[in-house]
Amino acid sequence: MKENEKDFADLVKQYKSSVYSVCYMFAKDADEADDLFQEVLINLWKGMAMFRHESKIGTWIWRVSFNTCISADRRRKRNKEVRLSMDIDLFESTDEDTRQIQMLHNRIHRLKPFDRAIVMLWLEGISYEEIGAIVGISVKNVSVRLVRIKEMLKQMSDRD
Amino acid sequence: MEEKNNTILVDSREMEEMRRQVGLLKAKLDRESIVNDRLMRNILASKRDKIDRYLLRLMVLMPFVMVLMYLDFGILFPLSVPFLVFTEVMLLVAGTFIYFNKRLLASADVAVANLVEASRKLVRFRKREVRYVCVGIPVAVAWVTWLLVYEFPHCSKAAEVLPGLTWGCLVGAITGLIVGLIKFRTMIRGINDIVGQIEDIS
Repeated sequence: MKENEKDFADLVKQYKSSVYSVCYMFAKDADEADDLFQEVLINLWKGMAMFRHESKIGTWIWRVSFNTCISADRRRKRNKEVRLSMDIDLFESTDEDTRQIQMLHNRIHRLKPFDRAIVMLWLEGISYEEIGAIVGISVKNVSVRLVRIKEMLKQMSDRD
Repeated sequence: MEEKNNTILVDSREMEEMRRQVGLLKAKLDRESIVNDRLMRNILASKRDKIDRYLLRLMVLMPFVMVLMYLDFGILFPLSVPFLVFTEVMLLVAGTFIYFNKRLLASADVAVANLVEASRKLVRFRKREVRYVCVGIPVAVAWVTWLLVYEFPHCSKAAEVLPGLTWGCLVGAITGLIVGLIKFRTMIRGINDIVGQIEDIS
């Protein structure tokens, strides 16, 4: 394997869970999650050569993941033969952990795409500054949006 | 005040639950491999199957070649019995070798078996094929020499058309050798490709 390919493979191994969790939260089914996952990996590969280390690598990966998922073209034809996946179906499994994950998915999926990105990053324990850097808004804006998102989540819980 | 405190408490509890659920999600994903293992195995299996089909064709052809040799060198141009027997035994040994090596290839089931074990079998298959070619080519050269230098000149029927037969045999032998070596090289490259890909992913 060439060195840049190995670097990319190592990077993807390190961040695969974060990337896939973003794709999962933006997808309606397993096929869509796999499509988004493949698309994010392709964009990361393409962008790796141009990454100038002006931000942390993790910040860049989050940014690419969210930008890809938010702007993905869901009507693109799916090519099952070459799709990369995590070989896991979080939409169909019935074990208790997966049910909990599905509850999380149901809550977050009801938010607007941009709000999904903010709440996911906040749940990861990422600072307001970094959230702002990833999604491209000010720290104050992150704070305001988070309050609103929490309120919406609470209203959803009360209705359910 | 108490209502506000209760609201804050519920907020925290919900967020904590969601954080816990995120933790479950990450833990599940961390245990998974990223490459579609099934897809990789299917690709490797189809490469292996291509080689398997080539060996099957050789095996199927072998009985016909044996019959053809008997018709040519036993009836059409009756050559010596030792030569005929040697020819048929040589073809039988070649066919038997192909059969056993094909079985070894089939047992390297990259679709379902342990990939490292399958890789070892493929390496063994490759070594056998190389040994077969190293032995087979000198034997084939000796057989052609025996045919052209001794058998045909001593066969009365062949003597009438000896120059044509000689040239025909030589052209056939050289063409066969070139085509055989090209096929052999393609097969070994295919095996090397599969073994290399298994090494990359395991």
